[in-house]
Amino acid sequence: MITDQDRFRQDKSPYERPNFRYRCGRVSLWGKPCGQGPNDAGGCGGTSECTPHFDEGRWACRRSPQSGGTCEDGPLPDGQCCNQHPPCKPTLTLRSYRARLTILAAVLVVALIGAFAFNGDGARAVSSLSPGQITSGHAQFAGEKGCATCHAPHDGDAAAWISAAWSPNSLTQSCQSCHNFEGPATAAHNETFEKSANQQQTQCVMCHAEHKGAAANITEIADQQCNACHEAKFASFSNGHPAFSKNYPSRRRTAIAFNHVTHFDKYFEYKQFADRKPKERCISCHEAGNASRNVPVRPFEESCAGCHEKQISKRDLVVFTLPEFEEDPFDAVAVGEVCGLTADMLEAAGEDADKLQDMLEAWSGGKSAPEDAAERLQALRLNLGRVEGESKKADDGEEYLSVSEETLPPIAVMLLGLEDGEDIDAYGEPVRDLVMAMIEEGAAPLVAGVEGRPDAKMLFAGLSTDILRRAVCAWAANLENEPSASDAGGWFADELSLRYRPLRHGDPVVKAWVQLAAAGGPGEGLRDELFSRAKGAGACVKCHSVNADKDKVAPLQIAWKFGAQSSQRHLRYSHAPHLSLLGLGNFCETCHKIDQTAKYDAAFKHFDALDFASNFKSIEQQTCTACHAEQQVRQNCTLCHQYHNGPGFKRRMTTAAKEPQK
Amino acid sequence: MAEADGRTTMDRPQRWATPFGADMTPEDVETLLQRPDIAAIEADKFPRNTPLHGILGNDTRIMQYRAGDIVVREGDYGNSAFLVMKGSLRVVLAPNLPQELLGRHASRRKGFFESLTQLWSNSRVPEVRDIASYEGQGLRGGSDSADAHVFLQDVPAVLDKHRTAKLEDGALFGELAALGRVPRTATIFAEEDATLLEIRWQGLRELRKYDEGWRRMIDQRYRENALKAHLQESEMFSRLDEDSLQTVVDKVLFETYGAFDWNVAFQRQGGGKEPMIARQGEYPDGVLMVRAGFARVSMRHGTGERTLSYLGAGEQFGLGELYAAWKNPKSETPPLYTSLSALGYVDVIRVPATVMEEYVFPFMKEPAGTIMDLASKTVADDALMEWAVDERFVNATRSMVIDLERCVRCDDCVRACAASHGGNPRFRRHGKAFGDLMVANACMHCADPVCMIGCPTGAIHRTVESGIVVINDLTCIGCATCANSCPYNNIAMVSINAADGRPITDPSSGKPIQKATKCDFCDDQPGGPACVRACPHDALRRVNFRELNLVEIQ
Amino acid sequence: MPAQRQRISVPMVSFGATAAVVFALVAWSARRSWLELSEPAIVTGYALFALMLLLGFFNIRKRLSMVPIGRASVWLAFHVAAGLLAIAMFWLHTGSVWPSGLYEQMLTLLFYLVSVTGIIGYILTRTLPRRLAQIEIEIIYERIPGELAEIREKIEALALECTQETGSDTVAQHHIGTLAWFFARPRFWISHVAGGDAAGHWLRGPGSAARRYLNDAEKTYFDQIIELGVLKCQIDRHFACQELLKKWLLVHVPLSMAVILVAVWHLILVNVYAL
Repeated sequence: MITDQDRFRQDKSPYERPNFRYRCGRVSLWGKPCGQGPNDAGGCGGTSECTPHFDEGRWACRRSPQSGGTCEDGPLPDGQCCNQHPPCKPTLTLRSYRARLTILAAVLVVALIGAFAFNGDGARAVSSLSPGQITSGHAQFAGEKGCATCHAPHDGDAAAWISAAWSPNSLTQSCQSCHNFEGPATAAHNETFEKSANQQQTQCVMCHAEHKGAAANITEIADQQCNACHEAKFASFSNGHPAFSKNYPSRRRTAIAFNHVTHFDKYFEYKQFADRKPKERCISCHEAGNASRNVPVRPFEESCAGCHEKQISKRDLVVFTLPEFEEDPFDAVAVGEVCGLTADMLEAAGEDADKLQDMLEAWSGGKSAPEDAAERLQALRLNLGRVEGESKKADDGEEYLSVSEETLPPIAVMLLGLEDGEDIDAYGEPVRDLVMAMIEEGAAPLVAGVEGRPDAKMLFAGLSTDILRRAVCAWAANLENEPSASDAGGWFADELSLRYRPLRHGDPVVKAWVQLAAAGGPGEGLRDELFSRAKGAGACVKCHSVNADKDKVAPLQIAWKFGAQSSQRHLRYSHAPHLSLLGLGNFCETCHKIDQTAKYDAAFKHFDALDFASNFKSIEQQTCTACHAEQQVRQNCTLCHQYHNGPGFKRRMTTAAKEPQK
Repeated sequence: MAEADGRTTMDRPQRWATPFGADMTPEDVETLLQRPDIAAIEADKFPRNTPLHGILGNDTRIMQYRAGDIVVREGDYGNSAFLVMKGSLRVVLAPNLPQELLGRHASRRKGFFESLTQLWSNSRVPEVRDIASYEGQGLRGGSDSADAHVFLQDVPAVLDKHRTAKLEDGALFGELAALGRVPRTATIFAEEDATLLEIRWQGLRELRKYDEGWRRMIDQRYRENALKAHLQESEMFSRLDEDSLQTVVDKVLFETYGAFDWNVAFQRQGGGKEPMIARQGEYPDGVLMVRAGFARVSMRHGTGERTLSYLGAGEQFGLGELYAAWKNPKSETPPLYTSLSALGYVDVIRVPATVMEEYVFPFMKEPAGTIMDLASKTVADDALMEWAVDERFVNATRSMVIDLERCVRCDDCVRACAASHGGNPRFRRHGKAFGDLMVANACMHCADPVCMIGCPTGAIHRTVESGIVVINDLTCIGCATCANSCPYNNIAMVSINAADGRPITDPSSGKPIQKATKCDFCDDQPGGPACVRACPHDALRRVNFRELNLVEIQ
Repeated sequence: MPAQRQRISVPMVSFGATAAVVFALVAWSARRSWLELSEPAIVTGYALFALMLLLGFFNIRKRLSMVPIGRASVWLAFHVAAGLLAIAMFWLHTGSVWPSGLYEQMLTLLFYLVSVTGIIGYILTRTLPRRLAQIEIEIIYERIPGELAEIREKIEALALECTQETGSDTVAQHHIGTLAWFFARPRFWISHVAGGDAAGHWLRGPGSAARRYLNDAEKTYFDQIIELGVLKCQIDRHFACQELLKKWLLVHVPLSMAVILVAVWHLILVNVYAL
């Protein structure tokens, strides 16, 4: 017992063997274990206490001293040990039990994984393998193929699944099945920068991590992460951000040539405009209530027309001017026949002044005075016919005197396909042909001259045949035309030229002619005529800038609209919150400070939009960092910068939708 | 916990209840008395209850040795002397015989990977032995200790390679080991068949005590062979020249206290008598040097003796007092501050004060007085030491001490021990405990190894390299002498089995073969004792009580 | 040697410091990875996995005590420091206390269970041995059933002898009715583990209830029985505390096997789907 003095004796206390797997079964029933102990296979070792030995005719007990030495009774006569016990059921030691539990845990885990991981097809939108919900946006599109919508190995076979463990993922590809950009998807900012041609490829998952919950914001990125690629690394906007560009935020000259300095300082001070000048400063023209990236200017009618509308109508488009002739190119008879006043008619009229008057009125549209009529008639007689067999020469023996001393305008030169509008020998016949054609066919030969050009229909829209006929008939008779009324605008013919008077701002005919000049083709002459700021037809180009692109490959572009040019793909700015803060007033000059010394107008003398000077001084960084700084208004990169270049979707809402009109 | 079991009477133990040689007959005694060296003994000097013929009949036995039998091995501890009666023996002088020939095994450490293979090669059947490995061990005789001998298989070869001296009729050897607890200094084997008279230490003690001739002979041999060497090793006499040393050797007295077989009484009753060597308050007449065994230094405290310290081999007692007396001849000689008593068995050399004053004191520094410092501690501080001395744990050079406040009883130490020994642990994780410390039943590799006394084959021996006590399983005959001797019950006998689990038995008697087993301090494993390595909570330590200040262990 | 008795060990402190350094390194590496638009969970995940394997290796090391590969106490200090580091690393890796996703939740639950059982187990190994050392006797766990059987035999012999000597069966009846339950097997497990004395209380109460009906002769026998009952209380306390010290590992080790396997599965999933 535990209280015996000699309990440590080696014959009373044999070795304990905790490295063995089984304990005597009697121990688990709170009894005394036998001396022998179970064997390693788990069977009872103590059914008999000794193996009797036959020696000299009798069996002797041979129980080991550790089990108590020889017993008193000795073996049974047949040689069996007298101390037999029913076998016990050995139990596992706690340690072996622990080993079995561990193996059981391992088997359970493997079995559970096997049971639930690979069940069903990949088409379930939520698999037990998912580490978290995907954003609700993406979840809508995962219904068909489930996880395999993005993870290609998910519905592959076992070999593909296993080999996916060490091959890189194809998630960027999956993203691109719906998302696209205006540049390569795996380049930084979706741009190909010249400077760093060997830049590392970007993968979508570098910044966008899914499976963070249905409402997670997967477009969030921290400022420090932008430093991963940018060589100029800095801490924050207010601490190390590179300086703004020169002329910021302008990157090119304005679309509309509006010189703020001259207007505010000079023109608005003129007395004649006192009632029309803007009452406020900036917001009189700029619609601050609609402010976003740009603060849009109110339309021409509201902001510019008060002063500039009249100018437009003052600048006519001259299509044709009767040039000077050295000798009469026209065949009077033919002209008379066409123009409707034949020699016979005159003959018939005789000396009847009234009849003559009627004829003349019919011919000239009833606009000529009687005195003039007689003169005209006389001239006509002389020209029309040698009825009385008189020579063409005048009664007083005068030579032919061309009624016009003008030259051809550039449009006529273009229409006739001539090179030079002053070479009489060159243009004599074509002009005659054109005039004859116009007499006979009206506007058709003119239209034919611009056939194939863009907007050809608009170029001579509204040209009345009557007016044209009357004019050319007069010119064919070497007479000045009776000018038709021109106050209403539109096509009219004055004494010697066919003109178009712009009706109002945005006149389509003049616009078409200006576009024609920009589209190229005719040579410099047309452009010089039409693109002159001082004298161009309709005064279009006085304000609308003409722009060539960098490579001068495409035709020139006229900037018809305000502010449509800047392609700031990666910069985001909205005036609205800033104006709300400043208040709608004249606080624009908080940031946009007028630069009195800038040579603004010089930029509009050429077509290069990038060579310019802005009316406004560059906005300084301090202006922004006054508020966007540490502990103040947020200044994270994504506030102003957009990473992607034109992000969009490949998919459409419905399959029936067509490509939008460009 | 060391309470008496309540009994107060027992039979007076009989001196000769168990004779040394069961076959000694009165005729044998007569034959012995005819021998000249024994006839010279004056029989009437012996007391009536221990007559000479009684000693010869009960404390001696006649042993027959065949040619090649090893009688004593160098390094063994023995408790008997031998007198050559007939035949010739050889003493091996140089070089020493290899360990294997002596029935020991050379300790060889396993390599790392060889040790690692034990992970899967250990058996789950207890105490498996391969019988084939026991062949050719050079063992003769059965499991009775009297008959079993290790013999040299090739005597001529041994004689060829080693320088030997001859011992013939009348030679006496082994008395130093028997009386002085000194390991056998040489290996002696029988060259031809020989008859020896083996005298056990009890008889030898009586012979020396009562017979002048034997006393002079034995003392002379002791002085010549052992004492001189011992004094030379001592720091006090190391500077002396040859002549002075010889004078000292002639003048010192040597004494023995306690019983040679103290372990037997200790096992039975615990504690046991502690003969007083010097008493507190008496006047010292010489410095006591402990040559072997352990002595307790104590002071009177209340009605008992309070242990202050313990002395082992090489340590002195009374030095401070005598030095003070010599230094201040005018003032009174101080008495002994403390008492000295024998723990079990002590050999003491008494160096007279005159010798000390002439040869030692003039050349040494004043000894630092530490005894009185020890006395300033409280009784509670010293309780652990008091207990350790009582339990004779001070003998231990490698006791296994388990801190019960750290031990989580996980048995990792036992498992590690088993893993290092073929699946068989070599200690039991229980033992006497004091407070939070338990001294487990694992071999303590004692400084005074009583277990080694009497091993018939020398299977249990102390390795030359490390001083660890190991049992050579191949030559152990299972006589259980060591197991029964160990006063701390640290040696266990086991029945060995075959690999399939059936016990291996002696074919003639059917008795299961037994082997003695004990902790071997992982002598053949790399890295030292596995038990210490295995404890996850640093609860287990192998403690050398000789080098430990027991106060610190708390 | 005074250092041996201190509770704060040098290996524990140095491993703790190393763990803090390792954590800082991994956290720094993870942040670097995040800044470079890589996935920080990769570096923290593999670090955590390596830690878990190292933690699991402790079990194997315990079988290898025969080769000198470091003391088990140093390994335990490493295990504790690495375990706490793994908890910190786990939160660094997941970023949250509870994830979504079935297998991640399984892994997290198992990890928490392993960690909690580990911490509880460590506390047990520090507190229960002190209680065990304070019990007057010391007994090996496997010998307790045998010891109890011996006590039962003694009790029954005493009861029988009492009946025979005194002629009254009060003691025997009390034994059958009340004491036999107590001596059948270890009792009052929870009280012994918690450090209470419900067993002694019971022994002094219902256990001793029959004493008032006994005469002096019977009392001598009864007192011996009660004395053996006190001894049994001590044995029961050993049983309860030692059993708990062994059984907590039966929860901790299988769970740790499960967590490592689920972690391997997690590794596979991450590599197939995300990397």
